[in-house]
Amino acid sequence: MNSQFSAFWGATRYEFVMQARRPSLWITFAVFTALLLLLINQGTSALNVVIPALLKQESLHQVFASWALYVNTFLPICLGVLLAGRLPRDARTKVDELLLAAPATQRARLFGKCLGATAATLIPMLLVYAGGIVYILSFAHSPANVLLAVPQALLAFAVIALPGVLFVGAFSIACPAVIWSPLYQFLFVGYWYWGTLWFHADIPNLSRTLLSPIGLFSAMGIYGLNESSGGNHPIHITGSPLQGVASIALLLALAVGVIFALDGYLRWRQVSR
Amino acid sequence: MQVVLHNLTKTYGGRVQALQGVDLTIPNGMFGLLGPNGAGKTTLMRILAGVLRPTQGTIQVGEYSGNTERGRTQIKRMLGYLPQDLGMYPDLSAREFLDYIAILKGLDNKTARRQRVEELLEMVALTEVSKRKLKTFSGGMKRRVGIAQALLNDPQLLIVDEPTAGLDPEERIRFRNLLADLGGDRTVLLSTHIVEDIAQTCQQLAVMNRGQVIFQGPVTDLLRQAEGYVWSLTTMAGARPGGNLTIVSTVNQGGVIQYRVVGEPEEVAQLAPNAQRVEPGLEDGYVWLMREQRQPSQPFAGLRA
Repeated sequence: MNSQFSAFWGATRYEFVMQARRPSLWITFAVFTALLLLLINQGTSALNVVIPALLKQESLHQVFASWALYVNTFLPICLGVLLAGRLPRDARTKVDELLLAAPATQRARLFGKCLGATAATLIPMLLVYAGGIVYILSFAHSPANVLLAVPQALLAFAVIALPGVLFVGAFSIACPAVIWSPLYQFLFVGYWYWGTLWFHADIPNLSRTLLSPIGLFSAMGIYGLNESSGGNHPIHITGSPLQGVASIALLLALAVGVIFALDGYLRWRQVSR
Repeated sequence: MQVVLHNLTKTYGGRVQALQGVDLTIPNGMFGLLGPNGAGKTTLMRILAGVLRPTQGTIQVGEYSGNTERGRTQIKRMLGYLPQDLGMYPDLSAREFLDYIAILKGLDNKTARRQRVEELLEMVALTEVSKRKLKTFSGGMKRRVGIAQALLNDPQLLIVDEPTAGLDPEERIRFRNLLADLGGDRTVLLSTHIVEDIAQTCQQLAVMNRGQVIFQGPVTDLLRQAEGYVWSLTTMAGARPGGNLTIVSTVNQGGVIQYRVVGEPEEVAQLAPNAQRVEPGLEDGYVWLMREQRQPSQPFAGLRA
């Protein structure tokens, strides 16, 4: 058991290192974020208009929650696309034979791969989030706010964004085992637009359910964000704290379940080869 | 430690039979596995390494059965595997890659693991470049990293599949010497179609062809099979030995060509009366064995001018 935990932790560490070293990781997030800010940060949607207005209506930690929701609405697109190639890479680099011949279980390696690669891909997203927090704090002039800001901001991110990120990460690691990785990337971007960004009430999608990966229910239910403070989301939903917690639990449980399913599928494929 | 395979069969996709009822006993020490491309050597090694599952048959490695999950895990703990198509993570350094593989092989103690990695880097003469990324390594350097990762857990069973393919002569000799040193108390299964690698390092071998073992035993037995059937003859340029003779080697010496051939004495006596019988080498024994497996392709036709 100790050996398998070591294998899991070793895989987490080295998958993190390999993903963090990819120049494409940083370039993709930088370009996407720059484009996003260019497109959205205009007129009445400009951050220097929206943030002071929010600070008048809500508490600081609620503004942090709004920002976490905002970041998690767009940036997971990059996350999903950048994680999709991690599993096929083992076969492409022909490392998979060595990995299969090692006594460490495949399950331990897969969980390590998912956690490590996702954590590395999360760093640029966290940097964007942190940049936004600093910008928000520049409008909140009380020194006491600044002291409390770091733990509050981290908590908001952990509650609202992290479960969805792990959910997206798990699916992006697992699905390319079944379909061609570039096809998954294409479908993922398409789904994210349809399921998350296109909030038309007449077309059912996950954005109104507890499985919403952007953390809508945890933002509305746990942080009490109302319609006007929800980052201009046109979705008219209210959530209870219980629904917020349920959403977090479901997203995390599904993320874990997907990796178990991936392990099962890869075992079956190995036996039937 | 002995490895025993019984009735080992592997069929891909229900149609391609890569192994057909292989019975093989691999004793302690260096054991060679020879055979042409497509003979099933790599499939056999992948099954032993736990990368593939057999369709049928049993695998016993020492006291462990390779047919159960638990047995496979125990075998992997004492296994070192150098695959034919060696892959590495290009963005890791040699040290990082070895450390990662060591973790996966169960070397949990950080200090002991790092020490082991350093020892092996020293053994394969890669200490000075250990911090460089693997994508900057030459083929020979990658092979050395490959053998280092196979030795991380001080394996009792070492499986090396075509380890010298693509290496220059110096690298090949270095590799062979390293493998020979490792023979000792271990079981080393060396698969290759470079006969010289086996001749220099192994006392026992098996020859595979079309998914079956067609010979197993001491190297000397394979040589003995070819005794009396190996000849050296000299001809003028353009006159190539014909008939049912199999040419093992050709040396052009200006206007004269020296051939080393295998064939029946009666046929040689008629085709090349000046041929001299020579002592067989391992390559001759292999060629003679493979020839015996095939149908004769041509009737006796004399020297072709």
